[in-house]
Amino acid sequence: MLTFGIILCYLLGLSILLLISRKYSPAELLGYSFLAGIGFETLFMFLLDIIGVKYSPSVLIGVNVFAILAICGANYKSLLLLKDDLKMPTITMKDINFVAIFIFCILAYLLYAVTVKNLFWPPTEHDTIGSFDKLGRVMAAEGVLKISLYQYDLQGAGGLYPPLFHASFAYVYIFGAETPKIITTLFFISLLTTFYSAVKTYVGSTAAMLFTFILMLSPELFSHAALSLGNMPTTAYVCAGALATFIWLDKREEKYFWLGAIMMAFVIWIRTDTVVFTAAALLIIAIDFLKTKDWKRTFTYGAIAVTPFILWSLYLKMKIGTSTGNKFDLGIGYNTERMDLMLGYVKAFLFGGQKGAIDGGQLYGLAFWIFFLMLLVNLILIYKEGVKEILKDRLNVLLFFFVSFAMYFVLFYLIDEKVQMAPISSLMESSFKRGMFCFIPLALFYASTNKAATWFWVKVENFRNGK
Amino acid sequence: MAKQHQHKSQAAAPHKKTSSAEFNSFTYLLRNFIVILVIGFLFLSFYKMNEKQGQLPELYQEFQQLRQSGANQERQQELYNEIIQLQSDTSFLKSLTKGYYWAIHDMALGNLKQINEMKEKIESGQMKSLTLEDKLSYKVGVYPLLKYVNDNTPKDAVILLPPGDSLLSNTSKWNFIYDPEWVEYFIYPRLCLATGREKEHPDLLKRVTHVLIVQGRGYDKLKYEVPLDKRQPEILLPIDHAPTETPAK
Repeated sequence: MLTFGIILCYLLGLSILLLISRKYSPAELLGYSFLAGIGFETLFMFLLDIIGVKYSPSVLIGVNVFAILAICGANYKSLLLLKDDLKMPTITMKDINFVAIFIFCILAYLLYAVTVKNLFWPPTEHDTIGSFDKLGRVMAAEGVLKISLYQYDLQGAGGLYPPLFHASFAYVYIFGAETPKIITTLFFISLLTTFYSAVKTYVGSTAAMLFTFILMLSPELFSHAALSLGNMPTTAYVCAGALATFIWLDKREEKYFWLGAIMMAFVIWIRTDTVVFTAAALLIIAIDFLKTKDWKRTFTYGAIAVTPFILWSLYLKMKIGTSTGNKFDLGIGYNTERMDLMLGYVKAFLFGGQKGAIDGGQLYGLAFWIFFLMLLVNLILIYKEGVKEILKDRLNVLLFFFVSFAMYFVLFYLIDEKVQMAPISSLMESSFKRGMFCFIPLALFYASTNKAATWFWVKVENFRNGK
Repeated sequence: MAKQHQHKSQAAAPHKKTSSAEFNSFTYLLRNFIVILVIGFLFLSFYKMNEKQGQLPELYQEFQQLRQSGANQERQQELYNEIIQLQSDTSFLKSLTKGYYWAIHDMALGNLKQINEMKEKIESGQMKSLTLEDKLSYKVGVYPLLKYVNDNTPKDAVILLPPGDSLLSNTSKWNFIYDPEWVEYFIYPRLCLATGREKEHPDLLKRVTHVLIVQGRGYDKLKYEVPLDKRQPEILLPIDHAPTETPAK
């Protein structure tokens, strides 16, 4: 039954993907199908709650089958052409990238190892016991989103988050799962495959596989592949949404516009503090508008990306009877002590080193170092290529990275410690630390696809191919 | 920019220009093998570089054991020197790559080995098959107590939890037994209330049916007296009447 539920989720995602376009790589299909599928499943669960229909396997199967048939029906003309696209390519020796296969084998074995751990142990982390897994289990038991525990403040902190993550737990519980940890593995695979497919678009399989390997092994992120916390799934959506948006702005391939907008919508459907990424995405889309003057695209992207935030805020206010906006101290002003403390942590996170209980190198490895190193190399290249060429190179990625990071920093700076019942140092060592995951795929995407890196990977590929 | 486009297209489809007539399988394999060797060498170098650092917890554990037993002074000194040497090694590259060693060696392979050993023991009959409850008991120390709560209360029970002061919160033995959001996960559909937060939920306070006593704390919340000599440190008791027979501890 659980397998059937997961297949339905993938099929829903696949039907949405095929509605957008018929041309995807296998990695894109694998990654985006799940992210879109589970995102829409939770949206359906939200809508069922609004109209007062209780969740059950039969209700979810009915909704899924109806949705898949409706989407495929609306798209049947395009689907009829699929068989022409599905011709088996002829593969010769020179088409086989042995380097990528070698890295893939190591990656697959380590992924297998961490998945065995993930699926063997039940969730035991404080946050998932106190919140996410509990919400998912009780949602499945009671068949509603607004579970009875809200009445007694027993829902936990995650009860105020938008429902994507805990509703995905509820989804697998409804289909008979004993624990929800299969969801963690599916999110992790989606993170890796969407990242791989995006990097491969620019620099080929060797570099894409190597950087996917580096992304996967980012130590703290890797440890979350065996936990049931929301930070890694959030990273999967930020990675998919941001990278698809970058590719859309660069290559103008229609499918990436829709993928970017939909994934960005789910970024805010999984956590509201990810609004910093939505804002950064809207900024680069707005800058693009200044060049293209394409009102329709800009408005569509903005509307899709922001709608979940509005939906959830209204639900919180009207049905739960609370809001998320009271945890900030907007009158804090400039507090030197707090700023110094936070900057000390940021330095440790980005450049390694020790601050409090944080050892930056231990957490994120080389990820941010490679990013800053490549940034430096490209700045040096200004002498050779000229300012214009270098500034144009992945400017959207850099803008997105630095703007979202600055807003993320400000968000934490403004947090009211009394409301959060935790000192800022503790918040930096827990929440901020885990939120940093979202920046790793962005940093590695830039590091692998910038001008200098592209030049390097062309040389490697030429050598590998004997040119 | 044109150059960049050229680079991109070459990288995305690097083999397109090589005609099959020119293609030499042996050279192609050799060149691929060389790239694999370079990547493999880098990978192994990082791994080996951190191997000693990764053994630090094991060395420390051995040192502590020897120190407690007072045996083998020579080995103790040897271990001490090694630990000091490893701790003082703060080279930049090691500090950035030691996490990868941990991720591969401990997180992935270490756990895989541990789980496979458990499965082998189960298959050979040395260990019984683990249920979800067994695994929870293994990972959450206080789970048997919470299971006891479930087994001894009706589904509509409301449990008053012990106070979350330093006596309970400073030790991992009791996990988060004082935290109602955490406990609720294990006892749902029963409800629970934290001692000290009764005023926030007067409706729930009125409905309290049981008091969970931990480390002898909570007897003052009962509406009846329990003689001092009959008080057990850990027990679940009805709030308003003494149990007809003493429940199992």
